[in-house]
Amino acid sequence: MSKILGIDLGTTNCAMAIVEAGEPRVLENKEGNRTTPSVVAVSKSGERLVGLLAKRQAVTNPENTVFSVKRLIGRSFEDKEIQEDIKLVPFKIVKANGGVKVKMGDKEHTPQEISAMILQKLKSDAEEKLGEKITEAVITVPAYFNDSQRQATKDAGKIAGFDVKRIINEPTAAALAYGFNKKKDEKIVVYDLGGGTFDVSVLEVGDDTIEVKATNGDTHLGGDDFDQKIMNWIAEEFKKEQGVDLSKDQMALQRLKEAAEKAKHELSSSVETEINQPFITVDESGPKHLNIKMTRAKLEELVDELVQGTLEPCKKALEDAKFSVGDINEVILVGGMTRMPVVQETVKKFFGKEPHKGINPDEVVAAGAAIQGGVLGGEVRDVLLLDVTPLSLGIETLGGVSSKLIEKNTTIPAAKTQIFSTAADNQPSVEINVLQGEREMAQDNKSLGRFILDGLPPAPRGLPQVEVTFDIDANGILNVKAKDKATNKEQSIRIEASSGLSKEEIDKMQKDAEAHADEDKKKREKIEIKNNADTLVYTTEKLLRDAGDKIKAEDKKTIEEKVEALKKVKESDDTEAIKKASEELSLEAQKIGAAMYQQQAGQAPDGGEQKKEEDKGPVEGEYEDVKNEEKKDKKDDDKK
Amino acid sequence: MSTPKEKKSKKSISQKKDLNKELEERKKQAEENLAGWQRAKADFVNYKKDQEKYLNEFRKYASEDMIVKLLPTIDSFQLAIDHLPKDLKNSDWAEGIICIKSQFDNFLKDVGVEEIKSVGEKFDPNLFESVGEEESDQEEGIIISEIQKGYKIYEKVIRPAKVKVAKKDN
Repeated sequence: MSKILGIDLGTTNCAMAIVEAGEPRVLENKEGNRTTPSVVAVSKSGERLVGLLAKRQAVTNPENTVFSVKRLIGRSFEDKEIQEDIKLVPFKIVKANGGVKVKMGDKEHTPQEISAMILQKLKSDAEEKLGEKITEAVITVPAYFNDSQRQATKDAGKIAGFDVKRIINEPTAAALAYGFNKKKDEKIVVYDLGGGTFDVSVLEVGDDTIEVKATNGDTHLGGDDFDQKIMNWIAEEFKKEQGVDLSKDQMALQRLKEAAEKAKHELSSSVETEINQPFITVDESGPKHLNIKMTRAKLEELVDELVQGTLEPCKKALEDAKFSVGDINEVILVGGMTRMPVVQETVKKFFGKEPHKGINPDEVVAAGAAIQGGVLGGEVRDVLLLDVTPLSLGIETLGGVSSKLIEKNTTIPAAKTQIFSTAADNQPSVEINVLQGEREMAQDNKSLGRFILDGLPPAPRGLPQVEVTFDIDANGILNVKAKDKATNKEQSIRIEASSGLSKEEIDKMQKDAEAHADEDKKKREKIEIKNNADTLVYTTEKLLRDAGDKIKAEDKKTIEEKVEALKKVKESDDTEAIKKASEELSLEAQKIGAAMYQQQAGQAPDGGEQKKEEDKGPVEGEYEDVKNEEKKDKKDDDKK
Repeated sequence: MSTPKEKKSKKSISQKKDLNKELEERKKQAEENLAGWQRAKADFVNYKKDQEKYLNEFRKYASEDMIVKLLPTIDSFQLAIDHLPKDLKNSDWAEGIICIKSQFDNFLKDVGVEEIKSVGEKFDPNLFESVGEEESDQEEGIIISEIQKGYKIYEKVIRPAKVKVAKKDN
């Protein structure tokens, strides 16, 4: 079955998404952008252009470049809005039977046809992206659209070759994207401040439906107004400082526009930005540079009027819905302008509630349309909603370190296998201690259970391969299995309550991990340095035993001294000393290898089998990955 | 004697019916589950393919984002050189600065970035963005001046050139 495309057909920009494995995914257009300008043009050479390309040539071809056609669709020529728009737009709007037409090139087109051209581009870009035909779509419209506007939008879809499965309201789509369609009687406000329009809607969740209780807004308020305010301020400041008026200089204006946009974006994340445009203009006295600082406070002062202007429609919408501010359960932010901290603050203050802004505000409506498509296509079902593991799962390894196999926030069901090895020569068994939590050290995490895999055949440390598998099913039940690859012996444990923690407990564990992150990391590094030193001592001693006769006596003596030196500091807490001694030893130890290779030049290699095994050891038996304290102690006992 | 038997058989018939019904339901459920599973698996395989394609593109154009952010600095550099004061024209120091600019230009060339030629070319929205029109003795639609340089990486336009275009003499 083919996908249903969710389309946010906006006044200034469009976005599209599909549902994939139950999750919405926004599709990029052919130009590689996640939004497409809602602009259509016929170029002077008679070519039809849609989206970014149409926008780029708008200035030189204004009478044949149609934008904001959404303001015209489904309206009659006599409508107040149309009469206002006629004065504002450079292209021609004419009366046609029952509605309007716009002139583009030598032809007149209905708004439906223009919208269809945009939809057609989205359709073919999506098909190219996915490599399959797409025939079905869900298209969003503003909540205040009447039947005629909705029907016209549906017709546009038909002309573009879509089977329009449903027309849904933009705020409803946003609510769907956040999954707010489940709680009955929930009251939701959607605050949508985009590039050119502002809409606020009040929704109420009923049985299986989301009802629009009221809408309000300003059809000519958006990001462009904000940019203009910033540009004016920069130009004024420059005039004050340098006495030059930039508004006549086209090149300077272009750079001002870019600088204003950049400043707006940067002030969303930092409190001050530098507007730096060297050589912005040149007059008789020489070049002039624009270099001023803009603070977030200044920006907020400039746009305050615009932001406050959105509150009156909010009040009216609440009144019309007969709700008070306190009745509202959720507030959702939509549209690029809601990234501005002052907008978020203002909305929060007005509704007395932290607004939802987790989903990209430019894409949330398209994502919601895709989800609606997924529901219609039977792809999104509650039973298929997947869970995640709230905390990481792992085992304890050498030195009491927690080695994670399944990271937190992994979508379940999930399985992961990793090979571990032994810490001591002839270690007969390994103990698997199953841990849950984010801390670096085993003792700080929760132990979910432990078991022992025994009967390992005698072998040098690092050689045995113990395959540990974590398998967590959709219900959160964890199966841990350990298998010795040499004997195929295995042991396992089943942990039912792997997610049996309460939300508070999970929160606490996550917070603890954050609070101790630095200290834990240091502890772990310390142990890793110790473990490394341990292995270095072990391998060097082994090499000396096996190949000691091949190296010069004085070299052997220095190496032995270095080994002793490292052994002495290794059990101390002085990591720097261990590191230093390790480095010195490993430098010296290279002489063994060098000597062996020199000797080999004349000799045929013997004991190929043995060699192969040794090669394998260090690669697969990651020494720091495994083992357990008990066995390490045993090794010490053996030595005694 | 026959009554209980009948009863029994009636009972077993209804039991059988129930079982059949359940079997049908289970079958349907199994089919649905299989379809859902298949679809999820297909989605994943397709996603992986997409991701691979994306990664290849990404590698090719990975530097794009950074270069686009670097372009305004290079623009300013060019402006500085364009406005070199007369009395500095023969200065060795100024010559050094011009050499640094040329290092920048060479760097761009090395990473596959190419300037888009504009003045005298015919306007094409694939390469250019128009910011104005002016009457000119040039043919209509020919670019008469460049406001900001445009650049390509390989064949991809990373920033269209901002230009003014000739308009018909009225």
